[in-house]
Amino acid sequence: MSEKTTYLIIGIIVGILIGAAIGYAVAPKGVPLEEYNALKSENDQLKSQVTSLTQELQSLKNKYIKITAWSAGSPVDYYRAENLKSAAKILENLLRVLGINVTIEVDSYYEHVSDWGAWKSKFVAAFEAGEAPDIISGIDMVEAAEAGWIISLDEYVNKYEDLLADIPSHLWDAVKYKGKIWGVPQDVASQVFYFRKDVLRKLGWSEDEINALPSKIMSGEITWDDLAAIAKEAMDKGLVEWGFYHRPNWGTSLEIPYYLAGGEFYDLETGKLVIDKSALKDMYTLFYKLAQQYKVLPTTMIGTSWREIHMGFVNGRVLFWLGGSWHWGEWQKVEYHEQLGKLPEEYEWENIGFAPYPALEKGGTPLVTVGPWKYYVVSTSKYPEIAFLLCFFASTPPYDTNHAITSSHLPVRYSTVNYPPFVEKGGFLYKVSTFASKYGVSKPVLHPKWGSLKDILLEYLVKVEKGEVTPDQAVEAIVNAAKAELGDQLLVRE
Amino acid sequence: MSNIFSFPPFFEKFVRKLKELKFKIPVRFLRKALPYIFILPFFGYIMLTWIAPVIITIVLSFTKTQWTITRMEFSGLENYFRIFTRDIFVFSALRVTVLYVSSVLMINAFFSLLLAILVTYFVRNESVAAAIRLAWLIPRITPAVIYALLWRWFIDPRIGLLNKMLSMFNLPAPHDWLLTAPYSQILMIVVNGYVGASFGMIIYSAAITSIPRELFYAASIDGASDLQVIRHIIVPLLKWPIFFVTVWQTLSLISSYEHILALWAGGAGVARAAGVEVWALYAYSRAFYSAEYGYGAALSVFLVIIGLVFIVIFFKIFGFERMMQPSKVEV
Repeated sequence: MSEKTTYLIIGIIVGILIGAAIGYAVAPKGVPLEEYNALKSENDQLKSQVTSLTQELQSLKNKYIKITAWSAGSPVDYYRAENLKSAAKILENLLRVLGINVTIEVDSYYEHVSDWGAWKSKFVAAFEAGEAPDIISGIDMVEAAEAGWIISLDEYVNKYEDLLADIPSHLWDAVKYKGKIWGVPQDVASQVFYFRKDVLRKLGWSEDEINALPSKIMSGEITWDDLAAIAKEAMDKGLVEWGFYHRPNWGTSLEIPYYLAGGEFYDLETGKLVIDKSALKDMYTLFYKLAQQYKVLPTTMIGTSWREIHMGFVNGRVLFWLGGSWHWGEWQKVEYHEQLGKLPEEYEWENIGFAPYPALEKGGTPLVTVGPWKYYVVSTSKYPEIAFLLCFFASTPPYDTNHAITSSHLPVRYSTVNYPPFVEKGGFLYKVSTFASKYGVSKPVLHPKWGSLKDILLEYLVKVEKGEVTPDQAVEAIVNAAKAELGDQLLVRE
Repeated sequence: MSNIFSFPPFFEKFVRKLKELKFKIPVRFLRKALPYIFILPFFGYIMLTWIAPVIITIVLSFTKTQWTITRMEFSGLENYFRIFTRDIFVFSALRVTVLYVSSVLMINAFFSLLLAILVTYFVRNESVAAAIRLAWLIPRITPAVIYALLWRWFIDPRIGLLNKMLSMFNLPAPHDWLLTAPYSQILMIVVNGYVGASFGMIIYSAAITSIPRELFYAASIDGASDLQVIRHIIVPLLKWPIFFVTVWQTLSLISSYEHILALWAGGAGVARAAGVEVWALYAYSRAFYSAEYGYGAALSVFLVIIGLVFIVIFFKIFGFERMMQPSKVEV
């Protein structure tokens, strides 16, 4: 072999080796076998899910599905029922796109409820008779879960996780009990402290002072005692009949002073009910002072009709109302005003102001409680997944907006906040959202015996407001009664 | 032609058909069974609407049934022990029940006697008597919720008529009839008494009009005053109706709560704070507000026992055995 040929062969071999080395260096690394097997298994799983979903969907082909839903609330919450019907259209269209022709009819019933005990009894009677709806709202979640009336939704929440990211995660926390998710958030309720601007004007307040009141409440400059003094002045001058109104039965707005004082009613770790005695004393002292000392709160609030309460505030006979954001919408839809009937929103902006609930002491932090309204899927539903999807689609931004604007509840979806119709009409809700995001706390009390404790608290609220017992006596009596009633399900803290 | 001692014609036909088919029918058996066959539908109705619920309630009272009625867990006498040892609300409910039953009974059993005497003995004009009877019957025929709503408007401190009327006569007009005892308790008694008085009035009116007129003529000839006629003729001859109305109303009042529930709606705490939570309402609250069906049933059974005790007491007081002797008048 000549020298040239030898060099050529060596050159080719070296070239191949360099090429191979370069190729190895730049070539993408292969997947380790374990990882490959894991990926393959996940891929197979997804494939089988798609196959089973396709089969499930195929089984729906040309099917007629009827879903019944019972919704309830104030006179302006009817979109809780209407939106489910709209959701059915969305789901039908989605399925049609996938080639599944199915008709979904939602028989949605709405009731304006003031006696929630009667609403629950109606549902329980229907459940026991095998005639329960597929979707229900307005019942106690814990009780419903314990009784087996509703199903846990973790399976569907995990399945549709990506879709559900549009609902804030803290709302999902509020629908968890014993580690499982039991409801679908439908809207967000925020408590709001209302005041009559027109009455303040008659007291000699300037527009700047009136407009500064919410910020003074938020900074802790104005407390309950300050507002009580203002109310007393207004009553003494004959401008109002009463300084304060609160709700006529137990609700979150009555609990706010307790939370302001640092109290808790529920211990997340142990799952037990809690009474913080000092916070409870502060709460009952506040109501005692308002009713008996300042005499700006009627002693007969409990048991008064809702209509009388709303008419009192709407007609300017009451200066301050411990209400919720939804009342702004209710006053626009229900004829409470003796001349105007339904309030135009312009009237509300002109004459009614709102703020978070004031702090108990100067420099303290105000507070509002926020919490979701929930849809539940009843355990006897033949189509629980369809029902779940309807609950979710019912809060699609257009429908979420309709409900939020009409009822003045906060929207439940992130995407609704930027939805143009909501941006255009949601002025009040924006302002509420602003202080709710800063001062809002979520205080779900997820215990089956919460109802019994509320009854005891209500009983002594009546007695304290009537002056039959002092706040100290009330706290002692409540603790004794609660201990007898709840046993080891109660923690008492000093 | 059939008479009351023979079978109805269709039944005779039925028996003849069966004989043709050569069934050996014991006719005497059929004759005895016929009345029971006729009351069977009604007995079935009573079984379904009264006897079966009573049995179910008694069974429930021995269980720890909570949240849903289909999940029963036998617990023996635990519910009954709880009534007497652990429940701090039963004694106030018992106190209120004693006040309620004793006060309303005075109206339902005895004031109604005065009403009946008024409309049948004193008021001669039938139209006036009819108007008085109607005025007292209206609450009975009005649905409980409507009746409660009307009372709510009547006692309202702002717009209600009651306080205005009391002020006209310089009487105290409490600001709060609903939540302040004893006004709330007076309201409870009056509201229920106004409904219940009509029952006694009807029974007594019928009894008084059945008294032979000759007795009144004889008393009038003897120079008896109205009070003497009432005391010596009417009341003695109404002993059976008085016994019946007293027992019936007592048992009815022990278990009644619907008007109190309708008027003091708002949860168990409201009625309790107002001092009007009777035992029956407490049992209802336990069962349907707290979903403690077993315990609510035990509270209800306890009421039944109290009712039975009252029956025995009344039998003794009214001399039931003596009353079972043939009566002197058709009442």
